[in-house]
Amino acid sequence: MATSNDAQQFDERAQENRLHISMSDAAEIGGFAEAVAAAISTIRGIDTTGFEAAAIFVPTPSGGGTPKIFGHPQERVGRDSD
Amino acid sequence: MSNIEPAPAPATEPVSTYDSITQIAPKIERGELSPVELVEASLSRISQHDSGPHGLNAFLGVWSDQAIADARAAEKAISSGGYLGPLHGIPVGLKDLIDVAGRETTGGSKVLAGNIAKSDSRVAKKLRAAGAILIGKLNLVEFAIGTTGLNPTTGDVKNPWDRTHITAGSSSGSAAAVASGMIPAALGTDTGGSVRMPASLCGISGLKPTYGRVSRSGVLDLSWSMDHIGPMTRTTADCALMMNVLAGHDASDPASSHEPVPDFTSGFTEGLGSLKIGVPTDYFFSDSVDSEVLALVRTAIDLMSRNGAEIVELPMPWAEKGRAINLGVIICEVVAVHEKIISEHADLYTPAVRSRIQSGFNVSAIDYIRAQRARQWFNHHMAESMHQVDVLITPTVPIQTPTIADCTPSPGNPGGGLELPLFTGVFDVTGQPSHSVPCGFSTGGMPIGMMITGHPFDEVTVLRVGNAYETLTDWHQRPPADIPDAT
Repeated sequence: MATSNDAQQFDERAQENRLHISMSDAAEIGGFAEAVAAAISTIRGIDTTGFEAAAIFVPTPSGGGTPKIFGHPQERVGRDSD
Repeated sequence: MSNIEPAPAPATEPVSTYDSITQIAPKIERGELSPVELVEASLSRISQHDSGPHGLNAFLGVWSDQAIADARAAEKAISSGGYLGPLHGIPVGLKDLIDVAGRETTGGSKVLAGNIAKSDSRVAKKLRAAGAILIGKLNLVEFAIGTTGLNPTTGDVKNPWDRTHITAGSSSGSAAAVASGMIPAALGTDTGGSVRMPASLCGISGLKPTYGRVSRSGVLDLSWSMDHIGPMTRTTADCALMMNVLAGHDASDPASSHEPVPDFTSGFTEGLGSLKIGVPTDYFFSDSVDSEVLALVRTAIDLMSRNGAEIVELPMPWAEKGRAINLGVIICEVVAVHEKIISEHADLYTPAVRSRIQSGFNVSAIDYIRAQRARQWFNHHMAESMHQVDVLITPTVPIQTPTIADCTPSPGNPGGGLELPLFTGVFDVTGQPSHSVPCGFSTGGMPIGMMITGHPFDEVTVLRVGNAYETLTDWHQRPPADIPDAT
């Protein structure tokens, strides 16, 4: 994954965009970008076969319910609406 | 014989700035405590402890005149028999991501300076309807993008227990204001742990309700599929009272749930008996967690076991992937939220937050899809484990409270605190209700928090466990040493 995880690279980008950036800011981008890169790497390592987020694509009746979370049924009951 | 007349007895009870809503509300209902005196005490407390070089810097705006006027109206209504319930006359602060009509919502950023909300957020509207006094806006990490509580634009919030230490964030002002007795309750938001982390580090209660339980309408997005709004209070019982007002369906929030709303205090009479408490055998209790944190949480679990709870050990090796999924989703959604604004006003963001947003620019859409699929995978495993228990108990954060200096980036040092959300972020992925309560202090005198996590939409059991634990301990009743009670 290509990320701005290099302080000098970030500094150059900031200068290209005429944005002031300090060395401490550049240090932070380095640390955070590394965390993001590590997170994406971890996610890529998970075998998610069969875990497509199908609820996003399943039609729901007009005015009814929200997608299932965690296999927990959420039926429209109406009494808590305000 | 003295001719000095004794001082007249005060007309109402003195106000203890560390009293909980549960303690205050009956006095207000009976007319023994005036909402005006309560609000004046809060304003005095804010004036005394929030500003100046040693101030906590919890508030971004305080609405003194309006708060006093609203308190007078509450006093009048209550004296006329119009008591609305436990929040009537209670001062409440709101994290500055949350709209209040006619007031500025800045997200703690120069980007939104002068952004006046046209209407109340749903949660502000509900608090007003319950008679709460909206007293001001609370400091936060810029746009809630960060976990330490530091904000170069608005100034860092200081931990009331030691002002050289962070509060954690992003609901930093909310935690500091409640922990220092300025106000009894505040609202925070939680996407990677931003209610529970600062609650833990500041020694208060903080509840992240189930995703969809509390409307996000009128609240700035950070990551829409993981954003939660929750109460931060002195006790678990107060979180329950707040939830009784905040929860419920709202058609203007597409993720708002239609699940029936219970009385969130309804489990309090049952104690811990018959409950199965899950204790993960790995990740949350690994050797990499601070030893004092581990010892205090294990002591709390032992106490609950001796008081009737059944402890069930749960292998959860997959849990270590949770924070990665949390961050993988957040970083993509935060770019989607900020892409247009940052392209036009990049110079108005603080460099640190801009850089965090920029970290997501090169994450592909395919990786976002992978992260959402991984979320389904993760939720499947969590559901299987949760079938065996009523709640999970874990530490809230894996480290002791860092200092502000530790967390401030410097050349060659990106700053500490990245470990803070390793545990809390797990339950933003799953959307489960998750609650932090104080469970002791480090040898350095800083609060340590324990996290209680339940089944989706079962906040009642989560709060039941928190309340039962608080009846067995007094950690939640201890005020910071250098910020004494005003009474």
